[in-house]
Amino acid sequence: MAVNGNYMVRETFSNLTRNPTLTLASVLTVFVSLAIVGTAVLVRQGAQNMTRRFEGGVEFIVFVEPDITDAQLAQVREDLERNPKVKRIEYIDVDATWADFNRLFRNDEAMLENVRKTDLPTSFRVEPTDKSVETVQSLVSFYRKRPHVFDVKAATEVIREIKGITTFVNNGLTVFATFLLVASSLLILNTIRTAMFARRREIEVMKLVGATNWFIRVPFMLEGMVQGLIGGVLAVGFVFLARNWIDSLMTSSRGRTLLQTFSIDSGDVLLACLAVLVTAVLLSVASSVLATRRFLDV
Amino acid sequence: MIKLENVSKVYKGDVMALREANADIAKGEFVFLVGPSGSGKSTMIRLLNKQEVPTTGRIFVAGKDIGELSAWKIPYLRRNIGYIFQDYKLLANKTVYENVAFALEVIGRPRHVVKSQVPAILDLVGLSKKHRNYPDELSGGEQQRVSIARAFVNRPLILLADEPTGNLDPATSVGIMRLLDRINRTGTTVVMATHDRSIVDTMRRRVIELDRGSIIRDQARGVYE
Ligand SMILES: Nc1ncnc2c1ncn2[C@@H]1O[C@H](COP(=O)(O)OP(=O)(O)OP(=O)(O)O)[C@@H](O)[C@H]1O
Ligand SMILES: [Mg+2]
Repeated sequence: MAVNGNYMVRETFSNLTRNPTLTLASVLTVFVSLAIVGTAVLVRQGAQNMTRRFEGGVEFIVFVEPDITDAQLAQVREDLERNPKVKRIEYIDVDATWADFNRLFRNDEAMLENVRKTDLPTSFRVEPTDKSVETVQSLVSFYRKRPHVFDVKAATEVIREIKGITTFVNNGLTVFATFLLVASSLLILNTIRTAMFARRREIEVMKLVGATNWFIRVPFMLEGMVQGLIGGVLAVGFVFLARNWIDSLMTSSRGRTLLQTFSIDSGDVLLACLAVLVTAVLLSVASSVLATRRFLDV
Repeated sequence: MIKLENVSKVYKGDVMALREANADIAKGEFVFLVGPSGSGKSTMIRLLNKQEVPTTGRIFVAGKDIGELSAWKIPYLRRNIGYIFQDYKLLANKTVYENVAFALEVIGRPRHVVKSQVPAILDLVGLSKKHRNYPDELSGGEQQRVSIARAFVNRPLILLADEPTGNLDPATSVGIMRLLDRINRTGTTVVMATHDRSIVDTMRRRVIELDRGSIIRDQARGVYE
C-alpha cells in the first residue's frame, strides 16, 4: 500500500480535534484506568518484595545480635545446623544486609546517616524439614530464647500482615480497573465510530474511487491509538507520583523496620510503567480494530 | 470490456431486480441503460463495480471474472472504474480542487501526479477558474462537472454514471453529455443509466432497455423507446 504520510497525519489530527469533548473523555478514562493498573502493579510488587526473603522454602529468619562475635555467630549457626528439624540455612552477611538496608531506606536520609553498617543485625534464613504451622511456630519460639538471637521473624506473620494489602489489590483494584478498562475501550470505540459516522460521505467516496480498506482505516485507528497512548503516558507519570507517595507513606509510618518493609524499587516502577503502556497499546489497538471493522463493508 | 452472463440479482424480500441479464460491452462503447423506475438500471450499474454482488451469473470486467476477486482486490478494480452519481456526492468542506485531488490522494498517488493531473482535468471539464470554490458555491451543472472530473482524474477504463443529468435542466444536461461524449472519445467505455428521452434520442448510441429486471431491448444506435 502506498502511504501518503501527510494525509494520514492530517486526517488523524482533524479526527481528534473534531470532537474535543469526546476525545478528552476517552483520554481521561484511559488515564484513570491505567493509573489504577499501574498502582496495582506497584503495590503487588511491593508486597512481593516483602515476602521475597521467604522464597525457596524459607519459613523463618533468625536475626542475630548486631554486635555478635565470630565465635558467638558460629555457636548460633551450629545451634541451627545441629537441629534435625532444620533442613537448610543461608547466612545473610553484613554486606548483603547493608545492601538490603540501603535499598529499603534509600529515601530516608536520617536513617542512612545515623545507622552504621555494624549496627545492623545479620541473619540466617532457615528452611525447616517440616513446614507445618505448628513446627514452624515451635521452632520460632525456641530460637527466640536462644542466646545471641536478636529476633526471629516467621513467614506466616509477615505474610499475614501483607495479606490485607494483596487481597485488596488483587480483588478490589483489579475488578475496579477491569471495569474502567472496559469503559475506556468503549469510549475509544465510540469516538472512532463517531468520527467515522461524521465522515461517512468521505468514506463512501474513498471506497468508490478505490482507496484500500487499510488506507481508510488507518487514520481512524491512529486516532484511537493516540487517545490510548496519551492516556498511557499520563498514567506513567502517575506511576512515578504513586511511587513517591508510597515511599513517603512508608517512611513516615512507624511500622517500618529492616525486619519487614514494604518497598518498591526502580525495577518495580519500570514493570508498572511497562504494564501501563502495554495495556494502553493493547486497549487502543483492540478498540480501533473493532471500531473500524464493520463500517467498511460496501 | 464488460460482459454479463446470466446475471440475476435478488434483494432481500425476494425483489428480483435483475433477471438473467446478458450483455457484452466492447471497449470504447457508449451505452444507455433505460427503463421505468425500479426496472434495475441502478442495480446493474452497482454490480459492475462490485458495490453489489450478483445472486447468480458471472460478470467480467476487462476479461476478469469480478466474482472471483477477493475483497482486498476490489479497490484496485474500482481504480479502473469511475463512478458518477445523480447527486454528485461532493465533499462540502473541500474546494473543487481538493475534491478532485482527494480521489488521487486516497489511492496513494504521489503529490507531483496530483499537482499535474488535477489542473489538467479541471481544464477538461471547464472549471479551472473555479478551483478554489466550494461545492455550495457552484451550480448543479458545475457540481456535476466536478464529480465527473473526480471520476475521470485517474483515467479509468470505464465510467459508470447513474442518472448524471437527473437533477439538471435540459440545457445544462446537454453540456454534461458533451463532456461525457468527449471522455468517451478518448477510448473510455461509458455506461449511463438515464430517464432522459431527448438525450438518448439525440446521441443515438447503444441502448439497453430494462423492464422489471429483464433486458427487453439491446439496440445499437438506438432511441429511448
Ligand atoms: N439495496 C436494496 N435492497 C432491496 N431492494 C432494492 C435495493 N436496491 C434496489 N432495490 C429494488 O430493486 C429494484 C430495482 O431497483 P433499481 O434501483 O435498480 O431500479 P432503477 O431502474 O435504478 O430505478 P430508478 O429509475 O427509479 O432509479 C426495485 O424494486 C428496488 O426497490
Ligand atoms: Mg436508479
